[in-house]
Amino acid sequence: MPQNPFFWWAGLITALLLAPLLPGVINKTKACFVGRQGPSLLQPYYNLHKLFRKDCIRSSTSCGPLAWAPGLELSALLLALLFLPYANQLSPFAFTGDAFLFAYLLGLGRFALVIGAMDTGSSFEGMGASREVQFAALTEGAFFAVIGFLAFASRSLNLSEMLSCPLPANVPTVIAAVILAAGIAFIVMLVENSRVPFDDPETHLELTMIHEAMILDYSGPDLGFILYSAALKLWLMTALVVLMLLPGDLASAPVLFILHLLGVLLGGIVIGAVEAVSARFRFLKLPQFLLGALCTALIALALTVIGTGGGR
Amino acid sequence: MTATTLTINNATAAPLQEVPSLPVNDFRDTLQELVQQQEHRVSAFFGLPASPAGRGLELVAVLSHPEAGKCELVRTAVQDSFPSLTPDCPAFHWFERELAEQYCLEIPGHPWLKPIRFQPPLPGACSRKTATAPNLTVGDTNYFTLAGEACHEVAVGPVHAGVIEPGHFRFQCLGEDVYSLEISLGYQHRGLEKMLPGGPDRRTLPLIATASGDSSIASTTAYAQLCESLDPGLQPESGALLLRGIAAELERLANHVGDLGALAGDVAFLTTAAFCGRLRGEFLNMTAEICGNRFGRNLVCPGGVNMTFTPAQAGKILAWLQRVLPEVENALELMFESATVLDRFEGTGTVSKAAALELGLVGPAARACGVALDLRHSHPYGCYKVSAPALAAGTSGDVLARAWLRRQEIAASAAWLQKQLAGWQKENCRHRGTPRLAPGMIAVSMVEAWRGEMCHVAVTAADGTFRRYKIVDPSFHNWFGLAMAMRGEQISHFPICNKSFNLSYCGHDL
Amino acid sequence: MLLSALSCFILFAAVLFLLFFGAVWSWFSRRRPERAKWLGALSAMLGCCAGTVLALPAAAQWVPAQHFAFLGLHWQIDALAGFFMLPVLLLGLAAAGHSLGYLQGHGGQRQGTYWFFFNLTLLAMLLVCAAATYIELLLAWELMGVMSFALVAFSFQEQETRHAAWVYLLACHAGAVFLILMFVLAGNPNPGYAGTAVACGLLGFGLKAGFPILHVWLPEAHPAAPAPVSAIMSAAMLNLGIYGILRFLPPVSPGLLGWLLLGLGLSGALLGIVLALAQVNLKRLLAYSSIENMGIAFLGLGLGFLGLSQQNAAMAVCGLGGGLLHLWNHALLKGTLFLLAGAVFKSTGTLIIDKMGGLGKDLPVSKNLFIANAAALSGLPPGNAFLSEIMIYLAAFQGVLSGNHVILAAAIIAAVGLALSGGLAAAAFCKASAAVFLGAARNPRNHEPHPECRLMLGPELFLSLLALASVIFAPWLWENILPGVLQQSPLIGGGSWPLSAEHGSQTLSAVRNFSFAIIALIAVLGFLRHRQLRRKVLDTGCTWDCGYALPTARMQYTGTAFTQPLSDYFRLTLGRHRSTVPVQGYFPQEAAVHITASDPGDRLVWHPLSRFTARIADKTRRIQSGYLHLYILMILIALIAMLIYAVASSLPPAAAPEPALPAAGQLHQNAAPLQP
Repeated sequence: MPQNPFFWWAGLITALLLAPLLPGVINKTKACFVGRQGPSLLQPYYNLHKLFRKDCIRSSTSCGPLAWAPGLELSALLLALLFLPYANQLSPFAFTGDAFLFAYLLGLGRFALVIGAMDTGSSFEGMGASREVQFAALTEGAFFAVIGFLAFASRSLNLSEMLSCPLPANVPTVIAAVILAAGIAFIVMLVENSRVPFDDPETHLELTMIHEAMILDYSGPDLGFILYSAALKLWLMTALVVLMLLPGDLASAPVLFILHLLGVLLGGIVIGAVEAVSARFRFLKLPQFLLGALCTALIALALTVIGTGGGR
Repeated sequence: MTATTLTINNATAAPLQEVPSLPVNDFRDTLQELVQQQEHRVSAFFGLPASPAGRGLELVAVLSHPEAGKCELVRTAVQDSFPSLTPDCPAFHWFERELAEQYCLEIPGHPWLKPIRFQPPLPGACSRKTATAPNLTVGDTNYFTLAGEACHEVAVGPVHAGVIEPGHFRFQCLGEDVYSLEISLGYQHRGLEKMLPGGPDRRTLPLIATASGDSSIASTTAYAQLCESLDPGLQPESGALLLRGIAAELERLANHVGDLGALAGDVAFLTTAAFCGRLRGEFLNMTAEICGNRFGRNLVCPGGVNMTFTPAQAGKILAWLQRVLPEVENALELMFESATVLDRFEGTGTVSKAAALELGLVGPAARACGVALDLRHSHPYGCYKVSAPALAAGTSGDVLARAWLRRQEIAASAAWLQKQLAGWQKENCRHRGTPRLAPGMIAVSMVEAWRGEMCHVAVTAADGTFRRYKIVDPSFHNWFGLAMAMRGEQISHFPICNKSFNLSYCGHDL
Repeated sequence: MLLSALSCFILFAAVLFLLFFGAVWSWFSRRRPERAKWLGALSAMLGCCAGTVLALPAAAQWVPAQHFAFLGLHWQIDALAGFFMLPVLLLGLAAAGHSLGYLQGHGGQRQGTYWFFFNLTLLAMLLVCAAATYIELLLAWELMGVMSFALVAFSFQEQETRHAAWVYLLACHAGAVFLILMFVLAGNPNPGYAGTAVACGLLGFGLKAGFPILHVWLPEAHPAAPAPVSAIMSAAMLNLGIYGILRFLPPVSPGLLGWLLLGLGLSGALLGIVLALAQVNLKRLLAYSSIENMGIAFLGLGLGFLGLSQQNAAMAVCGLGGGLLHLWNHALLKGTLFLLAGAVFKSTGTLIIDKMGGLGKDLPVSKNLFIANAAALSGLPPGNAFLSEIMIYLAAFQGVLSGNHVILAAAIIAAVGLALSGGLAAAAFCKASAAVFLGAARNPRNHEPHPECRLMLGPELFLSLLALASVIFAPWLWENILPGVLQQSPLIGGGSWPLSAEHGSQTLSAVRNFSFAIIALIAVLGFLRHRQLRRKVLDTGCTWDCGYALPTARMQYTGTAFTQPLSDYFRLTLGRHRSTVPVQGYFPQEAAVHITASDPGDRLVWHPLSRFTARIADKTRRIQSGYLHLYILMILIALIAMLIYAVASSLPPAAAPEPALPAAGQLHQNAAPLQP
């Protein structure tokens, strides 16, 4: 597979620039599904622009974390962005084991947000944070099972190679396993990004929120940081799913670049469609669901092992 | 046994003198007997000052029986204190709290004697305590608290994130588990009961129409019936009665459809939420087609209706209805066939039938628990004396039952409406004129608003004006039911429980 | 060479001398608390400093391994010993400094007592590391147990403390018994005993290292002991269990050991952290987290031994090295956290998380340190524990990539388990940090919280800086120290092939670089944000309260509430754990909920066992009639029985000569396969 670092950098920059477009795509899709006009595709950009110009109000209960959490979350996500093989081009920052750093950077962002939320001493933020750590902890297993699958399928421990390796397309069980694993990654993405059916980003009901409840007390640029981070995370995870499904030897780098971009936007449409047709789950049922996802990911791994004839 | 109560029909009047005035103890025994043994409901229980300035307070109770179709009236005179009936009959609990607040009456033995509206005492309150007027910061009361250092509270409101009315909800929680919910209202208090005596005058009707804005038709109908029972010369023609019924059912449809959509929205089921949001507007617009106001503010007046309604209009609305109803059915079908939605609704926020009876819940909330309670059938009034939409019923008392019941009622009302509209032959007459009320009377008018039993009671003074005008909104009965529904529930289910009741804050706060 | 050997001996003697005489002297001056305090603390600190000078070169293999006889016993200081001595010494240094602040307010003779046992505990721990043979090990082990028992029982006036101390003493002695058994059985030439010896060794050392089910003493002793002692015990003493396994466990096949450690480690990690989630006592939470981290270390070692058995060098190095590195990281982080818990206790007078809140404003430095260390211990970058966890992940994934199916299954389950425990650890530490330091104070305090005590803050900062330094030096540590340390273990070094540090060192340096990249990025973003906000109006208001007039501190999540969904999911706070005065009737007057999260190890194993023992004891008590003549009769019966046995066994062999010979032949045949 010919490597062209230019397209990797282009992929990184598009991720940084276009990330806020993705929530716009989702909202537009949802609006279309229910027969409404919906907000403009660029609405997230307008919101960010507005927030960065605004002043800030901070809770007097805070003793610090509230202020530094948004920056920390954004830093973690910016760094995590470096490890994806955009357009199936190997990341120049890749190293053996970067998949774990990637996963733990997302964890760091979450930790920061949770600590920031708890800093306000509000029951709503507490509620959101409590749910966030619960579901994140249970999702972690599924995510690592997916990484295990990718590592086995690609025989590599570096995220770039995992996601861009050409697949043995002639083995049907492996293809099935890839689709299964991508499905689990999609579910992980929905949980991590607080989407329906796990959370409802549109709701106004404090008592049922997860992510939105955690950021109730943010305003102005801080809120802008968080919304931008959320958009980045959404892009990041969607791109992960897309790259899983996009075989690395499919086409030349420019075509792959266009394909992965379209894939991410298509991912937005799929998320929108899922949100439009399903209600959210009961919180009490989510753990079973997430552990089910973990088992499914392990099944995907088993399928690959069987399909490729086992170990060495 | 001598008559301990005065029995009258719904929407009729009787001289106040004929209402037996019992000694306090007999009064309590009678009420207890009627409520506990004979399954009567407490429709209204309020204070009647002897005179605006004078000392002395009478308590009047209006009880109704769900099957007999009658109302029982009884009263007593009290000094400063009235031993609480709540420990034996929880249905009195909210009324007694109201009495204690409005008239500074002492209610010894009441387990939870806290303000319900944080309103200043009404004129004629027991003077001994008026001097020590309570602290009137709305929401400042001694809430029930759960002991244990792991427990915490969640305080929601008065300002909510959605565009809804203000109210304060205090949850006693351990994480996601709700152990108890206490509801503290009063933020919408406007002093309606203070403004109405001295009427009826030109502002009475608008005041009544906005007692609870989404039940304007029901509320004005109750008022109109009161005036009509107090003024024998004011008898509406049947066309007017039927138009009131049509408008009331349209009101019911609009609210039920809107609420089901909101329920779907609360579980993030977008399609039904969006469709129902639009369809609610269609029903409101039908009402506007009849009277020019989407909420029917201007339609009902004492003696009839304010508008003419032509067969052409009836035909137009009928066609409109026939176009919209399949869409409603589709939107609801989508929701009730979605497994994820049903999973959220089923078994959530359950109220037992026993609790519904003991607490005196009304309307869909009660019917969903298996309590067959519908004034259109039990105490028929107006056009419902001729025919009424089918009685809907549920059993399980959970959110699903309440939602499903609303769907049944939508179907029943729609069928009834189509029949009535199709049979609308001739134009009705508008009515104009001011009521002249008979003096010294008491009149009771109960209507089935879309939330349930709405009871208006008027006592007229010697000059034919209102001496006391009591409004008991269905929400007044049901708020405590919502609190019970949340016992032992997950806190994340509160929004759908709340929405499945969808109670009125301003109807309660008045 | 001779010079270094001599200087090592002198240093070793000096350390022992300083600690011992510091202990004795402060005991004898216990009537003068001030003098006892300074004597004890200074001697402990000096001893630790001298010890560091001794242990660091040994661990880094700058000097060769030293053996010497001292007090008629044999001691050795090699890389392995040095590596395990270092946490003892550094933690000892920090804890001694911290104790100065922590013990303020303890007057009278308690200071002298404390420092006596404190110094002797340190001494015993160092001797455990330096023991060359089992005699020294057993002596030092027992000394360590007894001395630390006295420290655990320091606040013996409280019932709970006494209970905890007894549990601890029992655990120590049970461990020692197993160890004696191990040495006795290992010395037996009969190969049938080898397996039992290994089992005894694992039980004995596992009792100290907090194996699941054997961990019960840990959550009792840690909250009861003074915070600096908890820090030493949790951060350094638990490690010694692993040290014992690595150094003294009888030879056993790496495959078997790998599976055992993998299973124990995985269950320990998950059990520990799940139980930590549900705790309301801060130090108990930390204690359970120690069980988790020991589990993670065992997981790494288990993977490493599996790698050894599979001849998978990368898996072996990453697993073993990652396990050891995790011990080091855990020691620094958990030590700091326990010291911080001590500072919190001094400030609030309680350890119950749900009673605290809002301490961040009173203890700003402690708050930041606690959050940073908690995040690091949850394995989050740029913390140091992430470095060891990523090595263990690498080991697991090496197994996934190249192992056979069984190894693959085990490795993926290990990786998923590690990920789960990481997520749960983040939840537990969010709870601890948030409920203690953030939000508003839940209980009105009786007194103003003490300002931060510098004597306590210093050691906490010192350990935190060491943790940061170990991020910087991790690749160096990995390449230059760990292989040599591992070689010293008879279980590993006995192998014929060298351990190469090339595996994983590239990852470690990449992670280190990215750790600093993230710190730099945070700084840059912070600066940008600061610049942007400078031009804006910054206002403070109350936390969003829905416009309610009278918000209270009760309207915030408690620690228990924070983890309630998770701990309910694991059935730790449901049912019997929730004692409730139920909300009854329509108008409840009072209701309450109290949470007691009990330990399943206690409930399922130890309580039934103790009930069973008590029943047996109850039955046998009948023999204890209290009549002298009955006792004499019993002695008589016993003597007669012994006589009969002696006579029977000393009958001439002619009575049974035939069976004896085939038996010897069998023995020979059995032994034969062992020869090649």
